[in-house]
Amino acid sequence: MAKSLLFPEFKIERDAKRCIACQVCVRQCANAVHSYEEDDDTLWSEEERCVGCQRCVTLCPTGALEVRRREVGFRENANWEPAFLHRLYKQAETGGIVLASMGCDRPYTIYWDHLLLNASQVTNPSIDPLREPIEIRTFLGRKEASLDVDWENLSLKTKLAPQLELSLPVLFSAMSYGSISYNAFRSIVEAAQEIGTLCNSGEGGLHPDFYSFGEHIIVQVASGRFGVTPEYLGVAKAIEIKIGQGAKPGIGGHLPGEKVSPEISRTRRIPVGSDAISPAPHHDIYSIEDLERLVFAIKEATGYRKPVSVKIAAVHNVAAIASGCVRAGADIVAIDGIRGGTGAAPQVIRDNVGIPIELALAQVDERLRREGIRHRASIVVAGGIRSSSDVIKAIALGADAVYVGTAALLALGCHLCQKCYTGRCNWGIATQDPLLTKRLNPRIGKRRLVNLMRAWALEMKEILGGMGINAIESLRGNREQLRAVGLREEEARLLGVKMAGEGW
Amino acid sequence: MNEIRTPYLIVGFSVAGLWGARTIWQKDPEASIVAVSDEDGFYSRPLITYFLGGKSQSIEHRLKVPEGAPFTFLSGDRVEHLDTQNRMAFLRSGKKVLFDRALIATGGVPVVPPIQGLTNEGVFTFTGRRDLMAMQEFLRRTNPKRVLILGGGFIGLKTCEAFMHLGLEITLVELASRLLPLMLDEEASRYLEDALRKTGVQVVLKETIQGLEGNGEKLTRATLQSGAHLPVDCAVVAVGVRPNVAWLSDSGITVRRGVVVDAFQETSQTGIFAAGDVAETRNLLTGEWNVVAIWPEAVRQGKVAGMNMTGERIPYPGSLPLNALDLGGLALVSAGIVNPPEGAPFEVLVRREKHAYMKVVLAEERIVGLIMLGRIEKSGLYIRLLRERIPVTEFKERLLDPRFGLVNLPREYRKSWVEGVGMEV
Amino acid sequence: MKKIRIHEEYCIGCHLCEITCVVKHSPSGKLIKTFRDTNRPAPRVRVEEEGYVSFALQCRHCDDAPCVENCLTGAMYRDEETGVVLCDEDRCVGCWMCIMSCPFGVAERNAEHTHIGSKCDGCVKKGEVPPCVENCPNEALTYE
Repeated sequence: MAKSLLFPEFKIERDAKRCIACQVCVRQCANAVHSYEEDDDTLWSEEERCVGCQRCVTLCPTGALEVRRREVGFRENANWEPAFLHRLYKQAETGGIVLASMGCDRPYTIYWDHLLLNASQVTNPSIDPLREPIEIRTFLGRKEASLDVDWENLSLKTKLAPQLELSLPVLFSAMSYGSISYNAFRSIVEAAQEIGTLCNSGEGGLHPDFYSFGEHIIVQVASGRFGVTPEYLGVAKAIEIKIGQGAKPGIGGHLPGEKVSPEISRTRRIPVGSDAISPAPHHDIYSIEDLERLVFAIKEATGYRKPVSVKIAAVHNVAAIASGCVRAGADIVAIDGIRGGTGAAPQVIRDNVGIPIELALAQVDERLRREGIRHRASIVVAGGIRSSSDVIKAIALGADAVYVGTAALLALGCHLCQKCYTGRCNWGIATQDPLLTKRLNPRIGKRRLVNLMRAWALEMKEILGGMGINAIESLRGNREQLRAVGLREEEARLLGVKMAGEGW
Repeated sequence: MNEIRTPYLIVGFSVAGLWGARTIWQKDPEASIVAVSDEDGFYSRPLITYFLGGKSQSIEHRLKVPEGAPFTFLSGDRVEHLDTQNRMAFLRSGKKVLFDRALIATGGVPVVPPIQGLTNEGVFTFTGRRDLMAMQEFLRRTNPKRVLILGGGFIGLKTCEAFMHLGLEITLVELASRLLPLMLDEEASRYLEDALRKTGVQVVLKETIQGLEGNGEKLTRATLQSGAHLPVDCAVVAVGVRPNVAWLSDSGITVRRGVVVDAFQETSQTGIFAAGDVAETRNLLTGEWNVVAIWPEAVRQGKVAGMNMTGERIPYPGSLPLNALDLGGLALVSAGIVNPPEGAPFEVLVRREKHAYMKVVLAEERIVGLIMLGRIEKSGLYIRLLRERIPVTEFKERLLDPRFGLVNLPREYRKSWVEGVGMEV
Repeated sequence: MKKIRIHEEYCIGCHLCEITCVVKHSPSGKLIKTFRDTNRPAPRVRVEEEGYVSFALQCRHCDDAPCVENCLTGAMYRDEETGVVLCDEDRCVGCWMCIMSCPFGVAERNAEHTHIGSKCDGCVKKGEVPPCVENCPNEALTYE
């Protein structure tokens, strides 16, 4: 058999002075990289299989292990980077599509890192969040253009559309049970409940164990319609029609039959062991009018008590699409940018299709305002939100709230090794293997997610207070609080943001 | 004070008696208890062999009568006549005890076969402190070199273990064709005999002593049934114990081999209970009445008797013969039915390793017997499965695996056993 | 009395509890130094594994501990103040009644098979958390 040209991606260094041959690394590697030789009491590492998840490094009680990127000895070549060579060799060997997981990791411009925030000085003094309340509570849903008040009885005549109340402008992104483990899903759902926000079921249906958390769950109706039953729609707080996702716009999804266990089968309502294929389009949506019909079918089915969201990927024409969605009756439009993550997608799609969320958001917000329909739907953005400052900037650009996916998984222990598609996630997150899913204790997972959100909430209040703003509504679409740095004029214009150095 | 009135009388105060008392006080700390014993106090009988062999520095046990408990201990005395009708005990010292409830816990006495020459100096039984003291004095004074132990059962072997540590030449004589005929099967007996022989003990099977001879001053030799002679200067008769019931012959209480008790440890006379080596109880597995003279049984029976004496109605699930031994470097545990008859309903599983032998006897998918030789860890778990009648079908293939443990049991058992700790009697 | 509670759903079979127990009972109390010593103490907690089920089992310090009741010498005893069941190894004569009595199969002989060795001794003082619990990376052991 011809020799593979692929080098191991990672190098494992074991410090002999520290290694006590306790074999924790042997037991903890899902890829069987480490092994123990009984006869001479030594440890050996098979570097080829290492995916760089850092689990052994984290658990080694003496800190004897280091796992680093292996330096490949190719001659320097700015055009043919090692990653391209690696993938090309792989395709020459297998003839298949190279898969990837999580979000696009190419060095495209990260616009968040080119946007800077304002702070108050002298006039319009800043507010101390430790002394004054700062409102970051957010309501998602359709807003009315004007309110009709009965001034005599002090009651509202206008009937308000259903709203989602969040304690902070962050929700947990759609990650299906099937792509992530039961324990991971439980951690997220319980954290959402404790924090006072919502999570998203993803396209895999909702496991009955989580029905009681329905007030904190947005359920998805995706092209495969997995798990969509009257009960599913009934327990949820909101329903989201998934048209596309940022990591793989335009193509569908595929959960291999091996991962369809009895529990997954029960949740998705498909036979055990059968592939779960989500087709690219909804086969009953071929026009915006079809979308409107589905939106209202769902609203009818749920008595108009629940907001209906439409999730789209950020592509070139995203502003027009978003406008269409709003006119089709969506209460919330969720836009997922190119940095959005996934359990598995072809690498070429993940890294080359779609546009950054910052640009998409700015354009959508501007267009909806121009058309006078911005109030008819809330905008939620997703795709590589990494910190509370990214959240603030997103709101300043016009978003009502953000979805976090990768950030949530990182809180649970993900180390971004990008091998979710193997189903051997060492951290118990993107796997269904019971040996591995044990590793995620939902009690710990929930605690970490709650901590993360609490930290971000505090940071957001600090930032807002520094700006002299005490309610997040005052920041929404407030582009004046942003300035661009290191961007071309064109980019700044698309973002609707002045260059740093320009005053009011 | 020649007449004593008490709500509770305990006759005999070893393990069963002490646990009976402790249990009564647990329910009613003010209850007055009078105990009669021909010993000076509570001590651990089994320790006498360890003490002799130098493995233990004392025969005292940590267990004591609780401080300040309402306890009257009539030591060095014994009950000669028990008037069950009038609830009176007549003691050798002349004292009279009037009681409401009594617990008979007089234990066992050594079985002594009719051998000539038993009165020679240097011939002992070995079940209590007095025997130990006499033996120690004899050893110190005469410094014997060769000892003969009659009895290849549990007590004989324990005694043998003690002498092995003293460095004497030992000859062990057993009537049956193999050692520990009740506790082991044929194969395990062979392993034990081999291990003993390797340490230098001479094991003589299918034999017994016809007579012991001395030269007027001390013991010099033993004659076996076959006619063979053995030079010995010390002999220990350890063929077994039987319940100490002679003193009850005129009491009216039903006595067969031992004092017969019902499921509540009560004798044929209401209000009079029995526990321990003296009692004849229902066997957990066979349903027949038998005497199981071992420490764990004395504890359990004493507790049940104690509870029922205070007015509870707690049944005893039944006695289970079991024991542990360590001889010639070989550890062994035996429990339940280890020599089942051939065929249904019994199924026998055996595992042989280089230095270990294990046998599990099943009946209707439940463990009824266990032998573990060489490797004895986890024996308590198997015995628990036996006691609680847990069906083993689901994990039968793993049952004899050296790594068998709680993890192999179905989850419901594990969860309930580990969530709540402790055991109920 | 606080007891160690076992959560088998979250045990990842890493055996770090065993390692920490050894270090806690070693003369130096230092990890690498202890493991260079071939005479280091045996762990008093054992991870039992079968398929993907695993959990760390140690002495449950039962309320009516059968090992204490059946011990011929009183070497197995309960410390009334802490509620911990301890083995006084000096007093133990190696009769193995406890091994035969322990319903969890936790009692073990020491390496030389002379007396009981390595039984969990509830190693911490009041207010502290046992190191096996503290160092379990997935909180599969809790102290409550």
